Amino acid sequence: MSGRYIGQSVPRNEDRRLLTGHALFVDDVRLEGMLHVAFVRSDHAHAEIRSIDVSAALERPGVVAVYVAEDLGDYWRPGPLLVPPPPIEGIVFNQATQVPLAKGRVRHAGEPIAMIVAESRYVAEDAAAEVFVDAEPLEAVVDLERALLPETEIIHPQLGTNLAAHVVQRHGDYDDARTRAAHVITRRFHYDRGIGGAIENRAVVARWDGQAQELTVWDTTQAPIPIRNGLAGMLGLMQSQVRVVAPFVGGGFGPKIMMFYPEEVLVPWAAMQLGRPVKWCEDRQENFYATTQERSQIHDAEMAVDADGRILGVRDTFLHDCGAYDPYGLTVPINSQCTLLGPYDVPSYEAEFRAVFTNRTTVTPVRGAGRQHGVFVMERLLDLAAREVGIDAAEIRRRNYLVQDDFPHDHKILFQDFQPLVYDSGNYRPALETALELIGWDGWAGEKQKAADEGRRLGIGVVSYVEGTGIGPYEGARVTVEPNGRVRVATGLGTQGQGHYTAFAQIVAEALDVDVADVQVVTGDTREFNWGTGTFASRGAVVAGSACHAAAQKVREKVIEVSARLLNVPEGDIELSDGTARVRGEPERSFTLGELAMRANPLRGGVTPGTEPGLECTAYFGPDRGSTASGVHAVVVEVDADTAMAKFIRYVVVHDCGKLINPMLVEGQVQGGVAHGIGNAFFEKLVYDETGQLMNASFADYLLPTSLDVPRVGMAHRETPAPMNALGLKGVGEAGCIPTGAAFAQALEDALSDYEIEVREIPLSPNQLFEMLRAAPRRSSPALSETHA
Amino acid sequence: MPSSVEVSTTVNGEAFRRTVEPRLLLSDFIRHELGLTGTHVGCEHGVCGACTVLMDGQAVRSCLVFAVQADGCALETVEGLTPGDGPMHVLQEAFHDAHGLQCGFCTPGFLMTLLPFLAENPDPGEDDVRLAISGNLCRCTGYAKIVDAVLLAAERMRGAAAGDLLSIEPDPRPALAGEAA
Amino acid sequence: MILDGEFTFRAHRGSVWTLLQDPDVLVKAMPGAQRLVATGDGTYEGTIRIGVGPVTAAQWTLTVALHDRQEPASYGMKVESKGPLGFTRGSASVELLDEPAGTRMKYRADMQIGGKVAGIGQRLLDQVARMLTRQGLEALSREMELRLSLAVGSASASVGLATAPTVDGELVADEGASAAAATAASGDDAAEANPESGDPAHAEDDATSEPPLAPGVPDEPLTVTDLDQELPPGTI
Repeated sequence: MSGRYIGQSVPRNEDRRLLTGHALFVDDVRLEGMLHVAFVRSDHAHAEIRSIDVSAALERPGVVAVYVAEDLGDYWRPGPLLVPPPPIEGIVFNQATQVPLAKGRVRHAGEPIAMIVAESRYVAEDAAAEVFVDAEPLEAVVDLERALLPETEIIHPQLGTNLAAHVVQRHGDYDDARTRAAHVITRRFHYDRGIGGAIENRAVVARWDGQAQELTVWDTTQAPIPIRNGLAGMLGLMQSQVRVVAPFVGGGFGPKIMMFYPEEVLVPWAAMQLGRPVKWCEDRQENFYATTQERSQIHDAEMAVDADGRILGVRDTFLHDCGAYDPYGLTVPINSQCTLLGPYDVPSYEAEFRAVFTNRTTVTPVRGAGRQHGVFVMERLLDLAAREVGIDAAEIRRRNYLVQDDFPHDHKILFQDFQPLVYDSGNYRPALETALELIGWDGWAGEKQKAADEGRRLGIGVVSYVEGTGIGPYEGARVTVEPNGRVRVATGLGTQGQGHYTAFAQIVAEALDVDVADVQVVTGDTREFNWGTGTFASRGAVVAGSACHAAAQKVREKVIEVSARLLNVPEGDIELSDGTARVRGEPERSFTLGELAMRANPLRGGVTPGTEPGLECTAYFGPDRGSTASGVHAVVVEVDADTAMAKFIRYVVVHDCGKLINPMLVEGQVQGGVAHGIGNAFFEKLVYDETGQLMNASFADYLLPTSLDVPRVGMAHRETPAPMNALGLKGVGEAGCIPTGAAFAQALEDALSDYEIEVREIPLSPNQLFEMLRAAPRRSSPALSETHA
Repeated sequence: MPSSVEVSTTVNGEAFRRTVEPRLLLSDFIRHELGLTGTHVGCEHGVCGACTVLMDGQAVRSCLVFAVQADGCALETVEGLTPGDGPMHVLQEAFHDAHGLQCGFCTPGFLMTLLPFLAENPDPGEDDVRLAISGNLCRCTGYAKIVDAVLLAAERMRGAAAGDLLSIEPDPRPALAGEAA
Repeated sequence: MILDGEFTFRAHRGSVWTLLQDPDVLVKAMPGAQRLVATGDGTYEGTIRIGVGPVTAAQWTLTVALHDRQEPASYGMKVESKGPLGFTRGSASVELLDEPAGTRMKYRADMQIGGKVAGIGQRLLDQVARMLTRQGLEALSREMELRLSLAVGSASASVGLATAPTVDGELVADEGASAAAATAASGDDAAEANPESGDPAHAEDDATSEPPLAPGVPDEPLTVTDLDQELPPGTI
């Protein structure tokens, strides 16, 4: 449905607080008597701790406590396994989750070893510098292939292996497909690490109120309710004794869904131990070591196509880097495995991965969460196949898209939510045609030649992707009409800038026909709503939005029921508009929603048995499985072959996230995702040396894209409604950054078609591209456009 | 080096006097000593621009300035742009209308960077705006709508008398470091 | 990080060998070194104060252990240092070869750097390491020349290399791998290249300067400048 409020680009309700500097972020929490924490972190990627000397730190004036692992007693235990392994036949999964403070062994640089609590952060950091850790370095496991060699040091000795998981999924008979193929493309692809890069680092503040026996925790998490439930369990409290607030959060991008970070476990504990509020704020350098990262995988992939370029099958075997621990289970590699299939008809698929532990920061989802790796492999294979067959990049995609009659389409493998990978709906080819038109595909040869005449190298690329979004299990919402006529909506999600305060208000406004500005949304505070999971997998708007819709519909029914009773007319005669319930045809007979709320909550007199007071309803939404969003990205890139600098000149996204709640917000999500994707493609790469030391742990060396690097994205929306929810919604939060690397690679090769280069690696950098160009032979007769035959 | 130093500044027109450690960063001074938490800290090494404030009219990264360097200076922070419940500053309003913010964490730094820029460049082109904000990192928006917001603000400012809308005049002095006595 | 290079001392191998094993000399030669004491046969312990780029100068503990000593031809060295900003560990091999002009030292060190200093000082580390190495070797060379001059002055020709050619006061250094560092350190070179050893201003400025050269020193000018760090800590 789209209507008066849904589908409109309504400016955001939350903006004023953010723009005027009055929004509360966790680091803004100031409490009387608050103590401050700094952590002593491992300098080594892999080492045995021989001893820790905290005596000098303890003597420093202003230091209140110093804790090492042994001081935690029974509270020291490995964190929970957040996502258990999916029920795939033959799966191997070895669990090793993170610990609050390293005991005996450190497994990545930056792992916390000791916690200093002091009167100020400055003092805490002074003291942290005085803690002496005597550690005996062990061989650091950094290389994914080396991790599995028998002579390599084992990171978790109790497992006896560095293998974290082994998963095989298949459908169809790939071997048979291979024998029938006209062309078989075989390549190795690398994807490497980057950060989430939220401008706000993580932070935790905790206050134990001994009189009320209540713990309040402010946390930059994307999942306040699971944090509350987990903390209650660890600390031996009732869930109702713990309140977790994720206030305004300065960007999430995945790493803030990880739980439990050691700091989240330790700060509330220390607040209870010391009887004073305790705050820890991560600094940027800590963030580079202590906040989870993503994306290192090595794929050996193969595609079998017939003479016309139709896919007969794909085989992909890859290594996935878990980092030091695997608390998030297999979400990321399963996403890679599943998303590889894209919008294409792939009759046979043989997919296998091994996840390995390494002495690097733990891997959990970062915007895209494994999907871009799969998309990169598939799109690159298609580009190579197109070249073999002699068709262009657009045509090979056209020939392989699933078509309308194919939905729902079952890929016969399991997705990250443990449900079969079934695409609910989609319409891919029209999106491609729109993208080609917007990027100027048809006139490309001329444009490229004209640029070449001016000494400029341009390249074009077009790629497709799908994104499984909006997965379960569920979210809930409570909608309340207040006596002043304004409406309050409470949900359990954390929100990090997506515009939930406005999108949910639009959904509720639509149901009750009130002004969006009169709908106040609260979210991320377990005292307001305490059932739900969190913001991940592009699911917030889909799942919590659907719950808001369901709760608002129930309130609407109640409004009609109460007003019909009070006005003594049949319910069918009541109509709602502008915050007022009226008798149809007799507009003077009416009640405002505020009046109805008041009357639905009488102070005296009888009420009808079985009714509930007030205009308030709670509802939940849990889909069987997610909905599949999709899109096409088309780019024009300019490359300077001398400096190896590349620039995105044009960027077009045609995407389909079902029904749009607020096009302005969707455009913002896509544009921002593309920026992240551009960073991933060409600027952002975490560089580790062979001993596991991160060599670019600052924004001076690790480059986020700036306003000079990100072009304005041209966009077109397509709306193929999701059949899985009443509003037809699909998620969009991650889409922008998923296919960027693949599009960039294709365009680079086109721009450099007179060089024999293949881009099989992301992220690239000007340095790396320079080396590639220097090593690449020149083609004798440069093809004008490889991509664009 | 003395263990504490007195700092007198005005912030958003209000006078403050505090005794602080010489090593206290201006960003921490503003946020934690004065409680003005609208100024945010994103990197503590002068790259992200989230902590940008105006010091005698010039945009500075408050994480790269010691509080003592602000002694005798007039500071402006994001809180100064919109007093109380009144209407927002035209630049803030434009960010709202053009969807120039998502999580909003970096936003105060963008606003404070842009105030002197717009005062000096009342009719900027898109390239000028992009250059002006190239020292401020935003992970959410991909910058396009920020650029829109700035162009919109500039247009509206030109429509009104720029002097009325910009409470902060650009400071013609070239340098800041070491000026504070 | 690999650091390698060559350096020629104008002295016999035996003298160079002795010099390189003397903690009192090494502490002067090592930029930022504050203390170095022998804790056993070929093992040393000390402290060093150093900063890199954005990393503030801080005190590091240092342990050095020599091994495989083939006097006077070669030895191996394990070095470990720790500080609040991280650590360095590494091994080095040093070879001393007889040459007509003196003793050619070939060195190769494989250093591992970890912690904060690795994460944020990376762009500078390589340059800084080369610069420090050069500064250290030049200081050693100056010390050698000082010893030589004193030895000659006391007529103990066997210590020095009496026939060493004059090289115009320039240190004989082959810094093939350190061109960048040489440029970086050229300011120092300029100051030291021809330092009119009797320059009173220079001597007065220098609280730690050695006594004036004994008369009769051959091969003027010899460099007698302060062997301590000329740079204050943290200014690298």
